[in-house]
Amino acid sequence: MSRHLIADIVEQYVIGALDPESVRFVEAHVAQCPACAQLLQEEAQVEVALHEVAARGHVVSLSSRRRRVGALVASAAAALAAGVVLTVVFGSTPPASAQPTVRRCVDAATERDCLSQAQFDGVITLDPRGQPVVPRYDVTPTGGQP
Amino acid sequence: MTEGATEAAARSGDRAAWTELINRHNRRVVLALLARGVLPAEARELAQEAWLRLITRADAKKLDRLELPGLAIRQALFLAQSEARRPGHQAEPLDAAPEASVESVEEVYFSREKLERARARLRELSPSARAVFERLYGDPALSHAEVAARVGLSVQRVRQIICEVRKVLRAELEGG
Repeated sequence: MSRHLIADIVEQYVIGALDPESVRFVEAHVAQCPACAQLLQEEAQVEVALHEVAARGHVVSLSSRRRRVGALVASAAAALAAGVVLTVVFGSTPPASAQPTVRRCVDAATERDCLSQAQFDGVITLDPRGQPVVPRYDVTPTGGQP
Repeated sequence: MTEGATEAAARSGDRAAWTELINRHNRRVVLALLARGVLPAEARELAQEAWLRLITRADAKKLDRLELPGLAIRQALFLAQSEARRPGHQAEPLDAAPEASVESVEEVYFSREKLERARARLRELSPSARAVFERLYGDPALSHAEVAARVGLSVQRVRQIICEVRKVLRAELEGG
């Protein structure tokens, strides 16, 4: 494809400022043009980040998230070692005393569905090999923004 | 009706409440998919499927909480990842994301430091530019026309401001 969309048009698309005909044109073009699809993706990434900038209160700290996930895995492993399956679901901002849920996916035939559901439910899971699978999303509200 | 009340009504099966929530948040869900490299047509379909799944879970009384748009975004990105893993899927694979976090999109695309710099830069903008930005991005329910009405500017001027603010903030986000 010899011609590409100009960045301004893609930006207008992402912020929702184009008329329906132009929207259709942009979408038809990016479906055929990997370079413009990449440009659209980059503009969308900026847009997503700007929502986060505006939201202020919820900033994910990757390092703290890693620590929390590590702690959850450790506590899940400890609970299982003790033969205990905990049953408390934690939210996005669990209280300090909250315990993670552990769910067993008991066989390979149902492993995929079990893991999928567990990931969506936000619980720690043991796969059939006994390895803990940790849901990979959470947001830690940090507050403190002016 | 407040967001919390609308979400509670939706969880109890109120279809009008779901419609309101979808109208309010669907753009964010689609944007999150676009940001992961999903093409627009598929993004809209996946977003719709994500909402349907949430409604189904609510109807089955399996939705303990409904935090939007985060929950819908997680569901949509999860569906997109599942779709990309399907045998025979022709499209390019979804971009690999560090930690594969399906919600912490900000960490995937830009560092926390850059976001903080962008926030600081935002505070230096003119009050009108800041007002437009915060109303449009802080409350997804507001359209350009609604923002224009609230701040007393034309829609065209609001869009100019949006582009100007985006230019400034993206320089902070994409800077070294």
